[in-house]
Amino acid sequence: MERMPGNEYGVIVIGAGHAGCEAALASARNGSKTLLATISMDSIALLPCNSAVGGPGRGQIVREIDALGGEIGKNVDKSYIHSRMLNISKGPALRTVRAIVDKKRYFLYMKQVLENQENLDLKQGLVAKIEKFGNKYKLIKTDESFYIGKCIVIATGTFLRGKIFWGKYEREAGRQGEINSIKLPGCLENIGYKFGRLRTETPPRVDKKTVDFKNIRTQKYDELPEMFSFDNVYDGREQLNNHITYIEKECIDFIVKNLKKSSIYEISMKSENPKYCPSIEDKVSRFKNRKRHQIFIQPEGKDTNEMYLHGLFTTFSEDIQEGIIKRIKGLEKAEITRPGYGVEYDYLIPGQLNINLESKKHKNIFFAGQINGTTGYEEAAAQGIIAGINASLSSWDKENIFLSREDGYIGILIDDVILKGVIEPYRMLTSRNEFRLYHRHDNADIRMSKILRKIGHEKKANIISKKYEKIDEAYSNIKKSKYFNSKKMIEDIKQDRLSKDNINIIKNTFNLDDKELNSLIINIKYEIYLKREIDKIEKFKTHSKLKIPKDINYQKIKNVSKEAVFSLERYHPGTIGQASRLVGVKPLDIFMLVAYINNVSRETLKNK
Amino acid sequence: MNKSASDTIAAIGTKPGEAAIGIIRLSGNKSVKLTEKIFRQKNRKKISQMKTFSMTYGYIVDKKEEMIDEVIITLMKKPKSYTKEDVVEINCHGGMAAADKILELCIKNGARIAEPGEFTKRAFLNGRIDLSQAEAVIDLIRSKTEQSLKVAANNIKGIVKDRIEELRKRILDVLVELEASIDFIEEDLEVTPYEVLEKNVIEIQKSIDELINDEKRGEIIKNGIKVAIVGKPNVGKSSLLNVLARKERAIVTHIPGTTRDAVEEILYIEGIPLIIADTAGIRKSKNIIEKIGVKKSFEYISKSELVILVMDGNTQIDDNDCEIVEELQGKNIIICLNKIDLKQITSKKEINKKFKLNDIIEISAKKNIGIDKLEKKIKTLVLGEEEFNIESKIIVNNRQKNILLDASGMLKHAIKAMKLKMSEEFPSSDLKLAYNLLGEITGQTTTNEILDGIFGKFCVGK
Repeated sequence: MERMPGNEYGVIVIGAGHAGCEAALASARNGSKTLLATISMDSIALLPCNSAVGGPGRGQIVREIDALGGEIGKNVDKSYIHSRMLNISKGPALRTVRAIVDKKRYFLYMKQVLENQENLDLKQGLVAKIEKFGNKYKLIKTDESFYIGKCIVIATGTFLRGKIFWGKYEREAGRQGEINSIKLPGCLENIGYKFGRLRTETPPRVDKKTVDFKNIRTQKYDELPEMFSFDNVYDGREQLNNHITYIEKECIDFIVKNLKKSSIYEISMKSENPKYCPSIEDKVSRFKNRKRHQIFIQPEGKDTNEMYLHGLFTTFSEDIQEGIIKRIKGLEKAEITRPGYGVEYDYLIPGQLNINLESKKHKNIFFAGQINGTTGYEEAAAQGIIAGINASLSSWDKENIFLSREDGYIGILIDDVILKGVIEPYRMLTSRNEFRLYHRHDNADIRMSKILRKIGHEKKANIISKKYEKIDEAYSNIKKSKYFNSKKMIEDIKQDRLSKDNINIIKNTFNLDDKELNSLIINIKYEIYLKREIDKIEKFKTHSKLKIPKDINYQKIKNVSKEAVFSLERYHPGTIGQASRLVGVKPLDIFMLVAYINNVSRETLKNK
Repeated sequence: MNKSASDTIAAIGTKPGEAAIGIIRLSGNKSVKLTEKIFRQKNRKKISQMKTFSMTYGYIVDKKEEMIDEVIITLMKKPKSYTKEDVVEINCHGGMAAADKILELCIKNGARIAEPGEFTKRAFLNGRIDLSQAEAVIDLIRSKTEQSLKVAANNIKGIVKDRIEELRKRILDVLVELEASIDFIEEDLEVTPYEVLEKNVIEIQKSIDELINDEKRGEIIKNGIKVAIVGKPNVGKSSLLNVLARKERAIVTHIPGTTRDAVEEILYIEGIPLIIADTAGIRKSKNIIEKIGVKKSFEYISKSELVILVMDGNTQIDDNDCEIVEELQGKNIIICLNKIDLKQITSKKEINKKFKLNDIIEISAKKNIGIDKLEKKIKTLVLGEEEFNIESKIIVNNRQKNILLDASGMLKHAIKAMKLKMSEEFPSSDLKLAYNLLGEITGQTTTNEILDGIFGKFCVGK
C-alpha cells in the first residue's frame, strides 16, 4: 500500500453502486490506496429495480467481469434465490444464466467484501466539489472536509439532479427515500462537462400474503443451476419460484381511461420515453393491438414478504396503481407495500470519454456506470471494473488497458456508448453484438485473459490458455481422426444428439471436463458461423490498428460527405475502426479517409 | 484548400459543335456572387434576390464591361438543386466560342473547372442521391446504345435503390423476429412462426435471383452478345450474314475486328444487338494462309456466346463438319441447315442423330427461307421463352450483380438452416450478412436498424 497522509488516496471512487463497488475493488486489488465514498453506508450495491442479474447479453457481461477478477458474479452466486438458464431452445452459444438475488443479502455480502478488502477505505460522505490540486484533485464534501486523490472515478448513477415522481407528485431524490446530488453536477458543468437528461421507471411492490398464487402460472427455477463465477459450483441451496400473470382487457381499459393521471401527462418532462423499460401506460398506448401484457411476480428476498411486479413499471398516482393491481389475476386482493415511481436524472454525454473511460478533458478523471447513460447493474459493473483498473494503473503512471469490440460485450458496450451516444438508457442485448457466437458465456475467461496479463495475473492467464489449448487440440484431432470426423458423428454433434457413449469417449480420449466438452461442441456446431466472426475480427483488428493523426483536418479530405465530416469532427475517433462506427460515416467515407491518411504518411516519410 | 468540396466548380454542359444554345453550369457557395460579377441586367436586380427556380435575361460582360453574349440565367438555390449547392446555369448562344469565353470568365473570377462527373459526385457526397443513382448517371453518360440509355435513365430515378431498400426491409422484418426471440425470450412475444419466416426468406431469395437473371438478360440487350457464324467453306456463311444484315437494314457500326479477317458488325435481331462475325471457313488445309484463318476462326469461336453453325444440306456430312462440332463442345449452338431450296442430301434427322443437337433450323439464305424461324430461335436461346421488356425491368450493373450473387448465396444458406430447424442464431447470421451486402449497393450499411425494428414492433420490457 502506498504511504500517504490519512486523507490522501491514489484512487477515489464516488458512489457505491454497482459501478463504484467494482471500480473500488479493482483499484484496491491492483494495489492502489483507494477510497470509496458513498452517500449512505446503508445503500451500497443496492438493486432498486429488478433484482435479476444476467439474461441475454447481460449474463455474458457478468462472466466477463468475473474473468477480469470482478465481484458481481461471485456476489450473485452467494445471494441468489432463483436461477434459470435462458435460451435453452436456442443453440448453446446463446444460453445464459439469469438469477434473482436476495436484495438485502446482496447488499450485505458486497458491503462485507468491501470492508474486508485490503487497501480500501469505505466512507460515508457527499462529494460536492472537485478542484485541481497540483497534479492531483481535491474532493470537497458538503461539510467542507476534503480528500485528496490522484485519480477519480465518478460513479454516481442516477443521483445527479435526480428527481422522482408518480402521478402529480415529484421531488428531488436520488432514489425513493434517498437524497440526490445537486452541487456536484453544477461543479462538473462549470469545468466544462455536458449533461443530458434520462428517465426510467420502477414497478410497485406487493405483500406476498395478499397474493393469490393458486390460479396463476409458476415459473420454476433450475434444479441444478449454473453459477456465474467460473470458480463456483451449486451449493444445494433452496430456491424460490417466480409467478407469471397478465394485464388483460379489463385492466387495459382501466389504464387507458386513466392515462391522464400518469406523470407522463401530469408533469412536463425533459427526457424521452425509454423504449426498453417502457412504463405500462406507454406499452398500452403504443401497442393497442396487444390483448395482454405479461407481469412476473418475483420474490425480493428470503427474509421479506415484498414481491416485485416485473413488467408493471409505472408513474401513475398511487390510487391508480391500486386500481390496476385489483384488475390483475392473482393480485385482486394484493396490498401495495410501496408504489412504483419514475426517476429522471442527469447523464454525462458519453462522447466526452475515451475508450479507457477517462475524460477527454481531464487526465485521471474517469466516469463509470449509469452516469454514462447506460441502464442495468451489469452494464454499470462492467464500466466500473474497467474504470477502476485504469484509475489504479494511472495512479502508478502506468499505461491503461481497454477492451475493444472484438474482445467481448464490455468492449461493445463502451464502444457503442462512446461512439454512438445514447438517446435513452443503453441496455445490452445480444443483437448489438456482431460477434455474439464467439463472445460467449463459456469462453469469457480466455477472451479476458489478455487484460489479466497486462495487470500482472500472468499465472492465472496461463492456466486459462492451457485449458483452451487442450480444447483446440481436441478440436483439431477430431477433425483429423477417421472415427470422430465421420459425417454421422459431426451431424450428431451439430444436431445435439450425440450418444452418451460417444460423449464419454470424447471426454476420456481428450481428457475434458463437462465445461470444456461444451466449448468443444460449440466450436464444432458453429464452425462456419464462428469462422465468419473470427474473419471479421481480424478485419477489425487491422482497422483498429490504423490510427488517425490527432491533428487531422477533416475539411481537407476530398470526397468525404458533409454528414461524415460533422461526426468525425465532433467525436475525434482515435482509429479508423472507431471512425467507421460513427453515425453518418459510410463505407465510402472510410475508404477516402484511409486513402488520405496513407497519402499523408507517405508524404511525411518522403519529406524526411 | 485545394479541390475541396467547398469550392465552386464550373463546366460547359452542352456538347461541342453547332447547336442553338450553350449552357455553362456553376455549383458551389460562390456561384451566385461570381455570376453577379459578370452578368448585367437591365433592371439591375441582383441574382441573389431572385427566387429559386426562376430565370432572368441580360448580358455577360468582360472586365472592360464589353458584352460577350446575351444570356438567360437560371438559378437553383441550395438545397433544392442537383448538387444540393447553389447552382447557376448560364444559357448562351450556341457554338463553342461564346460558351468558352464565358467559362473562361467564370474561372478568372474564382471558379474551378469541374472534373468529369463532379456535379454528380457532389450530389452523391451531399446526400441527394445514393450510390446506385450516381452509378446510373455515369452509365448514362457512357451509354452507347439506345437500350443502355434507357436502363441508365431508369436507374437515375432510383429504381435500383428503391428495389434494394425494399429487399433490405424484407430481410430486416425477418431479422427483427429472429432477434426478438433471442433477446426477449421471456417476454411473451407474438413472434411469427418459424415456417412462415422460412417462406419469407425463400421469397426474398427468389426476388434477388430475378434481379440477377434480369441483369444477365439486360446485359445482353444493353451490350449485345458475340455471335460467330461458322462452318466449312462454301456452306453459305456469308450469304447468311448478308441476309440477316440486309433484312434488318440496321448495321449500326463497323467495329474493326480483333482479328484482321473477322469483321464484326452489330445488327439487331428482335431487339437484341448481335455482335456478329463471319469467320473464315474451317477445314483441314496445308495452305499456311488458310491455316492462320482457321486458327483465328477457332479463337473467335472461343470468345463468342452463341455459335451459328452452317451446314450444307446439299452435300454429305463429312469429317470437317464432325471436327467443327467437336470444337464447339459446351457452346450454345444453332445449326442452320442451308440450301434447302436445293436437293436435300443431308436431313435434319440425320444431324440430330449424329450430333445429338436439337436446335436445327432449315433455311435457304439465298432464297430467304426460314430466316424468321432462325431469328425467333436466337431470341429464345438468348433471352428465354418469356417476353422481356427492358423498360419494365430493373437492370443492375455488374458490381451490383456480384453483390446480389453473394447475398443470394447467404440466403440459400439461411434457408438450409431453417429447413433443418436450426435455432434462430444460425439463419440470423446469414441474413445479417445478406442485409449488409445489399447495403453496399446503395452505399450504406448499419446494424442499429434491427434493434429499432424490434422495439417498433414488439412490446418489450426490461
